[in-house]
Amino acid sequence: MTDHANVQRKSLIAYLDSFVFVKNGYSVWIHLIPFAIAALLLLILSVPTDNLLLNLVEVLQRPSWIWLPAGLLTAVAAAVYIVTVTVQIRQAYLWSKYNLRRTIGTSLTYIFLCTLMAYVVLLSVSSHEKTTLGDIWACLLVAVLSLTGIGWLGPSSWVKSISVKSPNYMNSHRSVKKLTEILQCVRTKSSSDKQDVEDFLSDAENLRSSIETNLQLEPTWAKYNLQIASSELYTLRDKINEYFPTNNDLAVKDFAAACKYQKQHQYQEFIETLKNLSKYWSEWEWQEDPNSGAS
Amino acid sequence: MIKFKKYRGLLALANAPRKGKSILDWHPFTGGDSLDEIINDYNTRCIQSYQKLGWLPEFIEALGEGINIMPYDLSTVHDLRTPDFANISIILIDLDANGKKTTNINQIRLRISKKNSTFLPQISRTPSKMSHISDFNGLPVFPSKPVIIVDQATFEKWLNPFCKAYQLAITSMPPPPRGDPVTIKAYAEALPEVAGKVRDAAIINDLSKKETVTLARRAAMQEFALSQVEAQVRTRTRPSVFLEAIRDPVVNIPFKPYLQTSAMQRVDLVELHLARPIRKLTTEQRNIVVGLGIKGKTFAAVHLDQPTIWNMAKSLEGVVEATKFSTKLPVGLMGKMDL
Repeated sequence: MTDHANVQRKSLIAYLDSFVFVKNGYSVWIHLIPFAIAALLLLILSVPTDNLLLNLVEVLQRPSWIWLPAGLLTAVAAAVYIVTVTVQIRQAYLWSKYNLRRTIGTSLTYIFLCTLMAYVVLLSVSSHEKTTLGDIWACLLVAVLSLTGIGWLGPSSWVKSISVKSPNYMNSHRSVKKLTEILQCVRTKSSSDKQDVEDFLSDAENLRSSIETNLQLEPTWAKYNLQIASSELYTLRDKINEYFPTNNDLAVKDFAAACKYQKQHQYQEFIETLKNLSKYWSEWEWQEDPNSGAS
Repeated sequence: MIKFKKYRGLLALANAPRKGKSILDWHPFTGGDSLDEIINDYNTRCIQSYQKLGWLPEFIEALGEGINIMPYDLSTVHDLRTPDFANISIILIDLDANGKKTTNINQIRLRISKKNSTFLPQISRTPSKMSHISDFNGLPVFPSKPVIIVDQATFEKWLNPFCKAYQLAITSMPPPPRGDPVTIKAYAEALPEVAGKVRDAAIINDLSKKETVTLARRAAMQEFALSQVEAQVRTRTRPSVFLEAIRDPVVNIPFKPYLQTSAMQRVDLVELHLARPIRKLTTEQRNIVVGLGIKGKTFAAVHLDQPTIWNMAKSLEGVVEATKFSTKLPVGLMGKMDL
């Protein structure tokens, strides 16, 4: 493949990845077993002479008391599946920018595919000519019940055992949250103390380390921004050690000022690095209060 | 991005705007910039002036000097200790915030460095406010001109010489003549501090450009001569050499260009060092040797060859060893006062 075609392919995958959980194909592998379970269910329901699948369709055709448990089961199964997909996506991605549409795209895609599989089986065993509400509901019910399997221990262990791993950024999310809290706290103070600097340094290092660990599990096309963020965190750590050594009380007090982008002359590199990182985590951006004390 | 490695401290005796804000957010003048912005501008303009002279970035960083705002205001200034004042050159007093109160000023005057000059700009919205300069009588504290500053432009104009005079001083200092590398290194390392003292003298005495250059050159000459003395006296077991007793403070060095003070003259000196560990001395003996500049076994102190020194050495017989030697020093030192 030419370089240009390679770049185009990477961009296409990256674009697709913003709608559906793609990464290294982890999502596909983890859905394999639930699809197999769905197929098994369909076999069990449709193979016997007393075709349970058709019975289910008939029962769901007309309003009756059975709609209540069936509706609840469908809703709960769908919710469990969507929540599981949400958690998996949140774990697999450092930045949450496209997580909502990834969740919707991924869950709708697999629900549609699994429902379609069930519908094809239904068509083959029934003599219906027109698709009814009961048809769709029955297929949907079988599909979402099976898809809840992505959250079971078995499928995820199996996927890991065949060396298909997904990055896990839960530690990174925790570090980002702590860093945000520290920044917000320090920015409300007139001067900082040793604990502020130590905590910030520790969490920045944890974040960097977590990104570095997960970088190996990322596909090439997804590494660019992660590498930049990791590199900026490395620089941030160095600048904090250089400008705000914890054995220097005066320097430590200035950490609060630097976080508010003050003393730009002395702490320009730290401020620039913090601003660069704010492009990735907008909650770190410092917005000056317009009523900031002009006399 | 070029930034200085060396900064002089500015302590503002004013109130931070409100809780959560620091003294950096304080706007000293109505409708003006914050203190942080004013000093950032000063530091940036100072660097640009070095760049215009064609200085390389590494030299600007190593030799230049900026101003750093101390992270204290009126509510926290009591946390400052005496060692913190060694690096504070400017004490900016907001007369509107301080009024007639002198509590903070009394605390500060006890801690101000007596070795370095401190400058005292005072600001107020009304020029007729009472100045606090008399509270610093007897200390090397110098008011601004005008004594009370009412607008930002005047304050910035008053700040300018801190960069210009320093720049003039350090660019006027000659490179060391050929000598041993240790002497040259000691001389080069001492230059920024000497330039700072020349700058202070230039501001205090309102020296012209020519007078500042003359003072800088003479101070550099003294510094080089002292570096040579240090190299002569320093040994492997006594690497620290106390030279303050023979150093002429920069403010005392003549600056008039027409005076013939470039001559070097042979001067007799005495090198003193401990013969016994300091812990084995009596309290009285320890006080005397520390007063002479000998803080321990690794120290040597150099004094002018005067009867008072020999009398002291005789009284400390067995404690201090004295060795006479001579060297060439700038002529100005011949008129030094007795100890």
